[in-house]
Amino acid sequence: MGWINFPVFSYTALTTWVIGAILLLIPLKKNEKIKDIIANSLIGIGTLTILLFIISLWITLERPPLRTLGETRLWYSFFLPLVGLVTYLRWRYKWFISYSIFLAVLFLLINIMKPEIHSKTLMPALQSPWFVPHVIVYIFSYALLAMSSVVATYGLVLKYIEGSNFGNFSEKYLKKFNDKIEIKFNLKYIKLADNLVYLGFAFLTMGLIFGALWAKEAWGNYWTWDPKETWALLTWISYMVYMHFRYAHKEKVNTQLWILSIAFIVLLVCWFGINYLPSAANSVHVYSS
Amino acid sequence: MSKKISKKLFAHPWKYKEGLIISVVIFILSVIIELVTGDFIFTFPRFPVNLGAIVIYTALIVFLQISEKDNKIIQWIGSSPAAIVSILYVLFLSTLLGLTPQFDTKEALLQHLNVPELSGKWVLLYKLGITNMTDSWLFLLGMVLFLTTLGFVTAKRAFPFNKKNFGFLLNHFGLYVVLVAAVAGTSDKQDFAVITNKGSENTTNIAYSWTGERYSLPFYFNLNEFSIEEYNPKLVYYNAQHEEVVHQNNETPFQFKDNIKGEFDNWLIEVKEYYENAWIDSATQSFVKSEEPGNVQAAYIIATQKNNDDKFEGWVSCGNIISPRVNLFLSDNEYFVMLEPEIKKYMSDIDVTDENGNKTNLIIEVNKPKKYKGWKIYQSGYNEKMGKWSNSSTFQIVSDPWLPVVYIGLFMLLAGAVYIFWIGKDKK
Repeated sequence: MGWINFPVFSYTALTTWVIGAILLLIPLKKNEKIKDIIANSLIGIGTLTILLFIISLWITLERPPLRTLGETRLWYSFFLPLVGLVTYLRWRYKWFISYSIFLAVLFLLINIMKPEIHSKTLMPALQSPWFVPHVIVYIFSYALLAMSSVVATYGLVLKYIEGSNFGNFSEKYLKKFNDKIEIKFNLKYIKLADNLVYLGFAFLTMGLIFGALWAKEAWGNYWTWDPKETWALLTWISYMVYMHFRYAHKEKVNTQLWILSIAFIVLLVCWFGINYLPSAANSVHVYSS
Repeated sequence: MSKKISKKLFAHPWKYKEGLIISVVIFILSVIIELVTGDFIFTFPRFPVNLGAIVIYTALIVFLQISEKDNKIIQWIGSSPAAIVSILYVLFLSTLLGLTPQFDTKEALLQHLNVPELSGKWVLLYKLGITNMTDSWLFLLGMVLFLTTLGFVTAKRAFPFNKKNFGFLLNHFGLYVVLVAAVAGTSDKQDFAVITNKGSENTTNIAYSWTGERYSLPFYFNLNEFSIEEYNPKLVYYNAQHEEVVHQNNETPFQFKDNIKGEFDNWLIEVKEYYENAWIDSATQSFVKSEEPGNVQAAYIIATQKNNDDKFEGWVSCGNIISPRVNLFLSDNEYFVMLEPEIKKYMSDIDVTDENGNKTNLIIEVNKPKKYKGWKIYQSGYNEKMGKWSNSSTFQIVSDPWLPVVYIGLFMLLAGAVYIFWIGKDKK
């Protein structure tokens, strides 16, 4: 089973996700609990459908589907709703799971409308037991960090649209008066973003180190300043800035949100901007087309 | 807005402004040293001087942190603002590095730009060391700033030790170990290329550094066999007028196999014969199976147009250094092309002989390097023009005595990452 079967799988996932998300968002007077279970199951089924497609594609291609941009988008469509669902089960943010589904749908639609030529071959250096853990850990980390930046953007938009000025309140003050002064974007959200960043950063570190260990086996050096490596380091450092700033200045929520948004732009450059950098022409990390 | 009591610069406690000024001073200092020293590249002293330097530097940090912990400047170096400033400074340098193409030598840069002499912004970028960032004073002093703040903050949390700082120390000390070992250990690293040719008369112990200097190794290489495994080649449809390469319709590339069929736009393709090893018979201009060295891949295909049953048939071959490429022409501008097969794997069978005449047989493959007397031998290249029939094979041989130290740091970071993941940050 190859890309030719993709529409069947993707439309199945699309439908279950969208119905699930709508169900979640519509308030019911009765049977709220049952509705919740159905909605979550639907989203879960959609996510499993994508996983099933990934596995079948893996078998057909006789290599892990991690080589082309189209293939990595597939993994995003799997991981984003997964992160959304787990976060929902833990913290109950409806808007958050809806956003994650929206992004996943977007990735699926791009793959449906602009399928790329999917090369069947894998060059020798990529045939390594490190390949799968390295890329999966990265994609999972990117999905987590993407979601944290969604939270950050949501916060910034709210701030400018509604003029909620939470930048100058101390955390204690906010906690105390949170219910009285109606700040929509409250501390709960920056905590969520924060948790996502910490998780994402842990995986980012693993991806970076797996990459180094692999590079040592394949090219004799654990670090060669390949453009992708440099930008991965930049991404890593950017989130490091966020974590240290957040640690030192808990009350400056506004600046935290800005740092988070900028860090995500660096991540995006690292993820696919690299393909367009002139200095990266010979990089092994450039997605094949 | 809350009212801020304005503080004079460099009055304690220091915060970001002082940090900014310090980094600007370091930047200017780096630039001055870079301009004064010119093309001279600072290399770290080798073992044991580098080890001594690391030990003294680290001991000094620990000593100052413990004995002078009330000193305002020491307090600042271990503070969050100093950490953030030094992280931002490294971020700034790495961004320059990430946006500027990097070259070891001026010649390489000139060659890349394809100009006889540097001009415009390149003069500046080159003079400041930004085109060879990792060998520049900017980078070195930036590293010193970063390692100093990292060192102090680590020492601050480590002495006295408290269990709740365990995760913090794994991450911070791990990073310190990786960076110190990587920076100070570079000078002890040996990284050479060895070019071998088949045949016992070509035994060699000559190695080249990446800048082209020649070295003699205390052991000899002899290449017994070099072999390549290839993927089956792909077929594409080429339109020369539109310079357009068309792959098979259903997005999975058409890869040659016996008796397979495929679809390209409105063409149906059938493979009648497919020879992995063939030789062209010049009399009939057709291919015959052959195991002779220098053979080539070829296939006989039939292309049928869907709407009017127009048929074209003939041989296609990807060609190699001896045999020419053969395409199946549909018109002057449209033809079917067998692409050169992509490489699946390549490996070398070598004998390495030391000075006492002890012979060791090694099979070296990409991603599967072998250890030999403190060196690691990697399969690196071959004669690509000859492809499958290459008689030469290139190896990279590396000796990096600091690697175990770097790995200890990396595994601490990895453990730190797992710690963050597992315990989360809410434990604080």
